[in-house]
Amino acid sequence: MRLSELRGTTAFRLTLLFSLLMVGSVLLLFAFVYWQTAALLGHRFDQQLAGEVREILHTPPEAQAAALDNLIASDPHEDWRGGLFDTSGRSIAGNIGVWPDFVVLDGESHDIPRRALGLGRHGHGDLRGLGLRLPDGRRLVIARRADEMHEMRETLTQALAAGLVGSLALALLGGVVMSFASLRRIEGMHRAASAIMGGDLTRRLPVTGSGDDFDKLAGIVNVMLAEIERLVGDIKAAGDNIAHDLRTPLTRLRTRLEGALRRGGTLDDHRAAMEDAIADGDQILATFRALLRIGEVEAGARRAGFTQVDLVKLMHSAAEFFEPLATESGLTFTADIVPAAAVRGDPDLLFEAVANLLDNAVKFTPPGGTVKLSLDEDGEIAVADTGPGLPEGFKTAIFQRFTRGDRARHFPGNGLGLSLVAAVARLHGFTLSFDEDWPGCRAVIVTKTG
Amino acid sequence: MTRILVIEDEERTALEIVGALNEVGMFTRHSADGIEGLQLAMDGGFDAITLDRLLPGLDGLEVLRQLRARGSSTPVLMVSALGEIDDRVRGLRAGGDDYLVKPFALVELVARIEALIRRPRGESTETVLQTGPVRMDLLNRKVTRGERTIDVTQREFRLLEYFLRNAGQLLTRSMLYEAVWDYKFDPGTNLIDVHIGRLRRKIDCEGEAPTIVTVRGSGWKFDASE
Repeated sequence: MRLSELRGTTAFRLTLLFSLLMVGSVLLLFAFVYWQTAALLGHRFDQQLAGEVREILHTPPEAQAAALDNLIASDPHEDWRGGLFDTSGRSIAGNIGVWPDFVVLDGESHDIPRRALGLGRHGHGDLRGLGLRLPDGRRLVIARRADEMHEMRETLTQALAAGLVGSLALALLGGVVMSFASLRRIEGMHRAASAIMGGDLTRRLPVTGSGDDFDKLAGIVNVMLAEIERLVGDIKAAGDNIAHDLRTPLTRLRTRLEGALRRGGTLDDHRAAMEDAIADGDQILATFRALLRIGEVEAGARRAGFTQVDLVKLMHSAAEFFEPLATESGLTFTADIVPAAAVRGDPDLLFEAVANLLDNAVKFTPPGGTVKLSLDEDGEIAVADTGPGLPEGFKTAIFQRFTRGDRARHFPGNGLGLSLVAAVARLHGFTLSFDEDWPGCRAVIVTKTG
Repeated sequence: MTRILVIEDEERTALEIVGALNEVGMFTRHSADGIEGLQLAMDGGFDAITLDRLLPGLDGLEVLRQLRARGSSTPVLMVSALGEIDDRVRGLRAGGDDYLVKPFALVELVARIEALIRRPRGESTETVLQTGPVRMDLLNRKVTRGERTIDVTQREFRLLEYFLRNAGQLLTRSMLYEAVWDYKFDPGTNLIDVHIGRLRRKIDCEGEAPTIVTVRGSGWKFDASE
């Protein structure tokens, strides 16, 4: 991880944005504080000036010169400047020798440059003062060095600037730390993703357990990865099983044709061999058709055509369709169908699923047994039989394609029936399960979702 | 003389279809191309058309759409490759009269073509069907054979009605299933056979001439010609 990568991270960009916003708001705040403080300081300063002037004014005219001298004399820091001038402009009192033309006689406070009061070019800043004409025609000017006020302002500015720099530094540091943290998380995800792309489908994105955004994202992706792993596993198993299950009939077909060719014989012999070969071919095609069908169902495209399905009507149709076959096979067939709410789904696929369950039940139950189809008021579809039940370990394997119990070898079929039922259930969000506590097998589709 | 237009680009399949149709005494004209096929179809004179779904030049569905748009009502049997299940719906919606998925048995194709040609145009208004000794009262849902009244289930009634409407005609398992049952599904087992067997036991009793006749390896035929 390089520093240059930092600039690209979302965390860093967000930090920069927030830093900018913060600088803006801090500047605004500072401006406000500075303006308020400066105004307050200036106001206080002016009040003090006005107070001194008022004191001199309240002194009797003959004592005013002494009062001014007194004010100046009592100031050890030489902050104060003042002058009392008679009508001809001659200085009567104070430490300003010549009347400063700069001063306006309006009784208001103004900034006064040092030079105007005959002070040197160098020294501690400007002054603030006011001038006025006394009732007897004399002129008074009083000024005070404004250094203190300026210093206050300067200190304030420095403090605010230091605060601004500090918070900006903190924000940037936070941004860098956060960016590094997020880059490290992404680096971890990248490593996991590379491993997965490299073929290790069991790998998952790292989750810290803090429940933050990254964890949530990783969680979502991990669920997706699990599904992909399952699908890839299915495809692989299906591929293996296709190879296995199709090799047998294809080999049989080839052997049969080869044998017929070698043996020769009459036209009827050849005809018989060809008819057998066609039957073999049909079996292979039926397997392919079933595979494509499962593929189609699993792709989920059929969901677009979902409608309201009347389960009661569907179940009655299924019962009516299978009853003759069950009876013919020497089984007792019962249907216990009670009114249930309609469900959203694909009626053809649901019928096919129920038909597959019934087909299995009829196929595997020995004569004299019972096959029972039921629908309860909660929309639970069940097909129960008194057959041999499912062998141990078959209940989970049954959901994979081509899995057939050993007994099934003696029955026609491609081992895809229950896989299709499982796929249809999954497409609808229904659950398919097999009941343990039953004399034979009891397959249940719970159609209630959520 | 029955004339069939076969629009099919796959040479081997076309040869087999033409051969099978010729065998039952139908004349055929073959076209391997959608545009030429449409032209031939528009020129008319055919009793039925088999139309492949995927064609060079013009897609099968488009051929069908244009044919119907130009007012032709020649019955069309759409033929499509394995697995294109949605096509069935689209094919029928575009104006196809029947649909067959590849690979198919040739007897199935011939049976469906024959059914298309003999299918009566428009809605039938008759209330009584009778073929040989078997009589169906459609209004009162009553079945009789000669003097004997036969008790049938609703499904068996529909099955028998389909047999009578297509009397003398070979009906395959899938044709019967599609006509009588409501859910699209491929009943691979001998389910249909069991249903037909039941119906047959009710219609053809001991000593009576058989009417529902098994055609070996293909299906059944309602034959009351004694």
